[in-house]
Amino acid sequence: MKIKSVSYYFKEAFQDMRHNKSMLLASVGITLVMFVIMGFFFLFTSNLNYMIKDEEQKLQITAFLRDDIETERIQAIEQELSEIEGVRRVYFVSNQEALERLSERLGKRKGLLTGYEEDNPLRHSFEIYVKKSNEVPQIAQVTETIRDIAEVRFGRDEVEKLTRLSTSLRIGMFFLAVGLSASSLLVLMNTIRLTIDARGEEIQIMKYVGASDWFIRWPFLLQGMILGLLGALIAGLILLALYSRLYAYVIREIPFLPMLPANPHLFNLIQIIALGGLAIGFFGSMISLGKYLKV
Amino acid sequence: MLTFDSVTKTFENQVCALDNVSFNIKRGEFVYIMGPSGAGKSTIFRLLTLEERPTSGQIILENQVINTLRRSRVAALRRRLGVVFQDFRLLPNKTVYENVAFAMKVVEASETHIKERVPLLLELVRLLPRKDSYPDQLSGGEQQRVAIARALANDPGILICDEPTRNLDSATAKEIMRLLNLVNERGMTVLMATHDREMVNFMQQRMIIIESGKKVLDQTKGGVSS
Ligand SMILES: Nc1ncnc2c1ncn2[C@@H]1O[C@H](COP(=O)(O)OP(=O)(O)O)[C@@H](O)[C@H]1O
Ligand SMILES: [Mg+2]
Repeated sequence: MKIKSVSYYFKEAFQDMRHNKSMLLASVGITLVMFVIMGFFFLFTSNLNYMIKDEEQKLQITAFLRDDIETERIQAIEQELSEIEGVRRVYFVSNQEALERLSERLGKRKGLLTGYEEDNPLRHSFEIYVKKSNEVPQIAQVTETIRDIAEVRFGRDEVEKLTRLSTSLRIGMFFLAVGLSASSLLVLMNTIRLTIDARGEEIQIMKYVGASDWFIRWPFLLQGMILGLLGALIAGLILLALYSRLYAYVIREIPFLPMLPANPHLFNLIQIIALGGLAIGFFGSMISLGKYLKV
Repeated sequence: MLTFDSVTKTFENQVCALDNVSFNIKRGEFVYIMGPSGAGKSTIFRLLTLEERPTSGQIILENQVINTLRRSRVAALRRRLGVVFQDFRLLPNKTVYENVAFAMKVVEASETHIKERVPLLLELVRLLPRKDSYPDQLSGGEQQRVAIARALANDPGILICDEPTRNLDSATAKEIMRLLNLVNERGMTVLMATHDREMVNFMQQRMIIIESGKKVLDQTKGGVSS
């Protein structure tokens, strides 16, 4: 490919786009809308996953001990627990500490607990932190078999719900992505087809005098890629503007809600969107060109 | 230079456009392909440009079998052919000069080569003074002369003209014939289809007569005795 030809390809591509403004707007517009919707969906699910991770880190097993247990036995159980495969850390919570925590949580209403200091109704327990969240049920089961452990609890319900939600969202996102990219591909193909039609005579002559297929293709491929990229970049800017506002709002108003920062997360997304735009433009043009280049 | 060796072309709809046609054209020759409408003349040209492939037989251009060329080699083959049509096929939004230059540009000729060659070509077809006119400002004969200049632009080995005078009145047609003859005298091999006997008699050249896809006569120089 000669340098001079490259400038020719760009010149032709831009000339076509100037002559075909409404289709240009339509294809950039639909690509943009598609990427904004997909981007939002993506950001939503990745934040959801981030939250799930956060929850998972908090995930633990609580093992309550029988009331009449001796101190040596407690140490033996601690040893046993920490030797279970997949356990990260074991933390002993005496009934005294449990009571303190409870009163802390009750805050102003801790008066409810007066009188219980002498005769503590709470049990000693172990908090067990695991390495992998999906091993929680098995480890809980093993824990239950240890002598002198009265009850085992673990909070997997919420995490499971969130995980299920995230999975169905991802499946939904996949179909949405397929549908949206198909429609944007169709609009782009249509735009390129129109410009190809407008240049049908020229293409025919180019073929008769022996222009190579790629020489004929490039202006249209470039045009498709420029339109796709333009839609993608504008979508990226819109996402960036909206997301950073939302991020600032969340940080200020709901600080305990974990949220991914725009940098680097959104910047990576924008790069992917840009590539997607280029790809849609390229393939859209390529498909449109197919029948013209046969002869 | 160009050989058709037992070429048969049958279309999908079972129409046999060419039936076992053979001929051989030498470098520098001027040959008419003559025959009534529907005889198969355009099919010969479409086989040459590889828009169609023969059902059987071989087509040999400058010692190369072309009918089996891969698609990727078709563009290179077409650069060796200059093609002229009955309907001129000029680009209406380009000037005379640009129409000729376009043919060179799209095969990536250098700018200096284009600037040098296009005026020479326009000089040859006597249209240099009209180089900035648009096709719709030209007469049919002038448009066809631009098309001939364009066909010659990339210095082809052979000029193939499919009924180039069909849309022209007989005076203008004769003018085009003289131009083609001049091009031939300068060394270009010319293959021209026509259904008009008057044109052939006028120029007294070799002619191959095709009827219903079959070659019925191949005669060197001299008028037709009917
Ligand atoms: N693509 C095609 N498919 C089917 N039949 C065709 C096709 N092209 C030409 N023909 C037929 O082949 C015959 C020869 O056509 P053509 O070579 O165009 O004749 P000419 O140029 O001598 O008038 C005609 O009967 C025509 O209808
Ligand atoms: Mg014909």
